[in-house]
Amino acid sequence: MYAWLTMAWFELIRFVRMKSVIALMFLLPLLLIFLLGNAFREEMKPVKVAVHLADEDALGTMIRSYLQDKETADYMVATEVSTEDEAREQVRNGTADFGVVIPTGFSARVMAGDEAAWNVYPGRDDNRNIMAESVLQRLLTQIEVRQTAAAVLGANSAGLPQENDVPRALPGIKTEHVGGGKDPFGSVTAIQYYAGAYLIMFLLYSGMSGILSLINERELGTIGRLYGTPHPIWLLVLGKLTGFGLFAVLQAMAIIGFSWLVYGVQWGGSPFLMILVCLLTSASAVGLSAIIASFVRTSKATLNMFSVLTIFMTFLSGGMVADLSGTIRRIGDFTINHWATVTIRRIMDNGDMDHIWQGIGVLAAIAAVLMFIGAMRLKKVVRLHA
Amino acid sequence: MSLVTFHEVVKKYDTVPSVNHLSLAIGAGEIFGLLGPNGAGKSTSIHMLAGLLDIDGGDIKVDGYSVRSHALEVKKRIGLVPQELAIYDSLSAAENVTFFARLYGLRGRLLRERVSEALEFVGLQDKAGSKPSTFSGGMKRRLNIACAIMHQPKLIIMDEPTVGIDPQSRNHILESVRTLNKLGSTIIYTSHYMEEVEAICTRVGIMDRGKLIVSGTKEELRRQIGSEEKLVLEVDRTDPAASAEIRQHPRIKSFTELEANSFEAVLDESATALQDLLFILQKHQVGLRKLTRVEQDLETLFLQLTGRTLRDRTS
Repeated sequence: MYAWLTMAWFELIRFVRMKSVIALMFLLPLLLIFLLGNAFREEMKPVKVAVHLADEDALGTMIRSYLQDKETADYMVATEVSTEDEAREQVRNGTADFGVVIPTGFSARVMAGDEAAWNVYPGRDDNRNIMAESVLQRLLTQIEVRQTAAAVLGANSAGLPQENDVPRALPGIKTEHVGGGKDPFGSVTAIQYYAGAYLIMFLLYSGMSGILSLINERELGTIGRLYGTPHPIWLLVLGKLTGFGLFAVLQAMAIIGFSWLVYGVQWGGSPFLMILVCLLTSASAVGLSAIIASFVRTSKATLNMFSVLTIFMTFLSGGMVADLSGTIRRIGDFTINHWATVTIRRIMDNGDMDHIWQGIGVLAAIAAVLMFIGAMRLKKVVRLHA
Repeated sequence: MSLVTFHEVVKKYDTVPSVNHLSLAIGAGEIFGLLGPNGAGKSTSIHMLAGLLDIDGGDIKVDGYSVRSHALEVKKRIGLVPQELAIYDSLSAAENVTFFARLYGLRGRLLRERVSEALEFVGLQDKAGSKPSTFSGGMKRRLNIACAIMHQPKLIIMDEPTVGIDPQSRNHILESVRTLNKLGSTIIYTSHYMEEVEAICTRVGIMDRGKLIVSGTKEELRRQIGSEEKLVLEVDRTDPAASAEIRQHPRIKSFTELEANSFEAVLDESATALQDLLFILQKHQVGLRKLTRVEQDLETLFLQLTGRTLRDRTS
């Protein structure tokens, strides 16, 4: 226990004293998040929406007043156009960031409890689309309240819901994406999405550093002296990796803390689960880098191969470009980054716990398999770099 | 009583034996010098002793414990000074020693005392807080030693600890070895610097091609080569007929031309061999300008036994 803690503590000390490590593992992710956050902040000016409101009934009036509301105007500047084609054209030529079309009879369908839909035309900028959809989502919620009230109160002459007047299953209101793509960030904001992706990418790097450190021990000649101490080698390796685990936690805390303090990024209400995902990601990286190191001859080759692989995995999982096409995205589903970032986004969104644990389970399985193979190849790693 | 015993130890790389049935006993309190050229098997032997390499055959015991079955007990009793500098540049001198001391189980006040003593012993007390990257080669070598002795091991293994350092640091290290021995540690010292081994070791073993070819005290080894006499002769001219006659003499083992008018002769122990040599020179009217007797050392013995020099790097 004492030897294990000694290894872990001194590994951590040695690691944090390396200036290049501090620059790469701490400052670079913070810088990237800072640049990204500033870019998103600049885009927070109100989104321009072309609205064709063909419904002149009760809900049409409500929608018009919502769009003209002073509070809404802080986020959205709505311009009414006379036809759907005009709305679509304004989005196409960039006059508007987003288009929305409320069809004739929309109010009647909603109030009758029938399925209703409005059409939206997302523009070229994903972030502007998200912003417009967020504002419209609030409107949609208000309409759904009306629809529910109509369903319940419309059947009751007293105007009050009775014990058995449970609202019938409502078909809801659909948002039909007519043009452009779907929201690439899912239920989280763009800055949340990228902060999560960067966190995972840099955790993979720090996990790899654990194996590089072991190879460096060999190159330095200190591995012989460590072997010479009265402890089994697995305990010493475990101590080293624990040091890197501690470092990964510090790194995660720095990224999470910075993004939360500066940009208010919400990381969800489950810090334990977040730490668990971080540790499983680091463990996967340790296993993967050990496997790579057992096939190549130098620490530099290991570093290069792992770096390329990490960047590829980050890209394929959508960590660099959120809106990837189907095939690439499907390939990305087989990466560590995918399972880690999906789980992190679910935690950020305080999502369904079953889904979160499902993600953690897959990640744990990946980590276990990679660590097992890595452990089997560990002797080869040390010998190859002898 | 033996502190260390090698019994029929074998180590093979692929099918080639690096150590070939090595048997050796080293007594408590000795400074045992293990000599041999590169590739002789001495580093492999001490790596097996320190538990860094698996043993393919035979066994090694330290203080009664087998390396094969009680490796961790053996390691507790050993301080290893590896040939490479096994220190961390990102830790200060004191932190380096503290790190390894903690791995040997030292803690609290005892830990602080031993770290301080070790640094003082190697003359780095004033540099305790400095990083090794600011040290000279000799200072790094001394720190390398401090990291191996702070737990006061019964056996200290020093694998070529003076490679590539200045004479002052070398003397400091050699003096340290003597002091450690006086304080009760048994030392195994490997080197291919014959003069170092002759200066500090109480007993010497010479290895070549994985085998111990000879061992004993320095005096015992010298006696083995004492039966021969090596001379260097400077003459006024070279006479082929005289040289040929000398080479045919049964008691003159070799007669080699070193340079113009200079020869090395190896004679057997009989006094008449020198008289005969001088007679032949006189007979061929070759004048003798200078006659020098060469002191026979362990290097000579090694050359005699193996036909190679200790620093033959191609071996």
